[in-house]
Amino acid sequence: MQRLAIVLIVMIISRVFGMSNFGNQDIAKHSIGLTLYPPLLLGIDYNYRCQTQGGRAVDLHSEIQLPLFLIEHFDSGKLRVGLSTFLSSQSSLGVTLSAKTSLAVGRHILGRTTAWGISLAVHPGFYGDRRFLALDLEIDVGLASYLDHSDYHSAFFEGLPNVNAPDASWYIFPNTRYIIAVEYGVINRKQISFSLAVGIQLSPQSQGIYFFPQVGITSIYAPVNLSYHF
Amino acid sequence: MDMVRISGMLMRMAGIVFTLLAVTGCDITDPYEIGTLVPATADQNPALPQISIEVGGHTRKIHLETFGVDTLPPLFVLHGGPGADYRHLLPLSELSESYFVIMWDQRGSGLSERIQKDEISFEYWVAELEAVKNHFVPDDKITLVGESWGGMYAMLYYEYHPEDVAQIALLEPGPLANSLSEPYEEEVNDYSLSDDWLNDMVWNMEFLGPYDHEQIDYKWMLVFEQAAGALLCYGYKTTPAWRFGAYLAYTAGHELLDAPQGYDFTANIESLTDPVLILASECSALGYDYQVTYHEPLFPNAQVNLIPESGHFTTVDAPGKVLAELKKFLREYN
Repeated sequence: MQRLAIVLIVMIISRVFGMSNFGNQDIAKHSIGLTLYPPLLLGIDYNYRCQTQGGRAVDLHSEIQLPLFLIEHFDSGKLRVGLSTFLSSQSSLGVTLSAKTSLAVGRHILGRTTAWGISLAVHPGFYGDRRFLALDLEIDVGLASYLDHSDYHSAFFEGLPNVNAPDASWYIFPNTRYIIAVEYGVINRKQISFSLAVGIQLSPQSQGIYFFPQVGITSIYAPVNLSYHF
Repeated sequence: MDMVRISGMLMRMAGIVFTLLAVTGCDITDPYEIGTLVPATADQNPALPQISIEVGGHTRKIHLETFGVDTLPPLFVLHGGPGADYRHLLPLSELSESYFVIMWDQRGSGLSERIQKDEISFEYWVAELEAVKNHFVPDDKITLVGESWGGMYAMLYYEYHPEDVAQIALLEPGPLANSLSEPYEEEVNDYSLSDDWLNDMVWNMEFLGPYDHEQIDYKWMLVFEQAAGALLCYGYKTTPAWRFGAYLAYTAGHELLDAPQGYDFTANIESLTDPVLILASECSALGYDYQVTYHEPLFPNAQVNLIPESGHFTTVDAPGKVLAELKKFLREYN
């Protein structure tokens, strides 16, 4: 029952917040969508087209990301809200610029982590009436993480000379990722859109000796989004 | 505007924010600061018991403790991993009543100094043990007690220096040749996409990057216990540890243990006619059945004894039983 309540709460919240990468057509004002970020993250997004004028559009979007199989960790999740603007030329070439900020919370064996970040993206490409093909160039910066350590974590430090287990604290600049991808989207007459991107995400420090996939660095970026526009 | 300028702009924005946080009294920690995510290593914390050894042209500080009188026969305890530490093997210090017991965190592991890729090779592991031996007991034969990877390490050393070895006891050793790893890996890699540890690992990409060794060690700390599920199926007692050397573990696995050229630590095994004791747990992918099936036949004179009510880390689950078995086997007790 508790789990059901959590799922319902998440679904309700997701109708309020969300994000769509498919915000470049002269289509309905609203869209809700699901995005799968392989391998294990699920995004639920909402997009509102607040202004369209002369080949330009401004979207407000928001998204909740959840670890796909950690619904029981109902306090693990990430909320991203952002603003994007679409600028087109008469030859169907255009660019979408977007800025997002995010707040992520995670609970795990080492404690609880809260992270604040921002991302900026540029999507230059071809934007037709019912499909688009663009580049996704994005920088995603973790500005700060607040780490609240568990007793399990503190135990690693116990008994060592001149050592105290670290207190809960803000950790600054904990993460930066660059995303380079090609994205494609298509929308049908029932206003259902499908888009996917294929590319890589890089952390500058993941190169050389720090490249370490086993501890959470993936170089593959391949989100798949399905949205309904209304 | 290029990426560098964008990064610079973001950093300035963040700097303003953190100035505000600092002014309002928030605790702020630089993630590059030593010892904020995992304990400081011997080179960073001079108060740790340590010695310096030279291996492969690099002088490294290793975290090391000795137990007992140095006139007793030497006994070296070799921990697992590669990358783990000897903290959960400390119950074996009781053997100091009859032995001069030496335990250390291998280079790049635990509280020992981190090392680089060019220092990670089987030959350098042999050289490391040689260096520790030369530091304490250059002229003595040594008894080796190795757990998991440490058991493999003991056999690796025996391959190169059989004349230096007095006795060998293996606590649930890992596969002594890569040809023996298949049945073990099938079981160990039998995990589900819904496993907590896997989701925790992926989700933490949102919080911490791979900026430095501390961050990747911290992430390994996150999954260390949970990911070892198939080895700990008797239960999930917390395994005491200081730090798992994630970079070493990854590099040794990728470049050596899982590499196409494979490995084989049994090359000299037929000359090992003295009795060898293998202790194996009741429930682990490397447990009693594995040891009897794959390892015992390799030795001219090995005996596999079961440690009941235990998973892979026998000194955590059943330290008394492990000590009792070792004391029955080791010469100085008989």
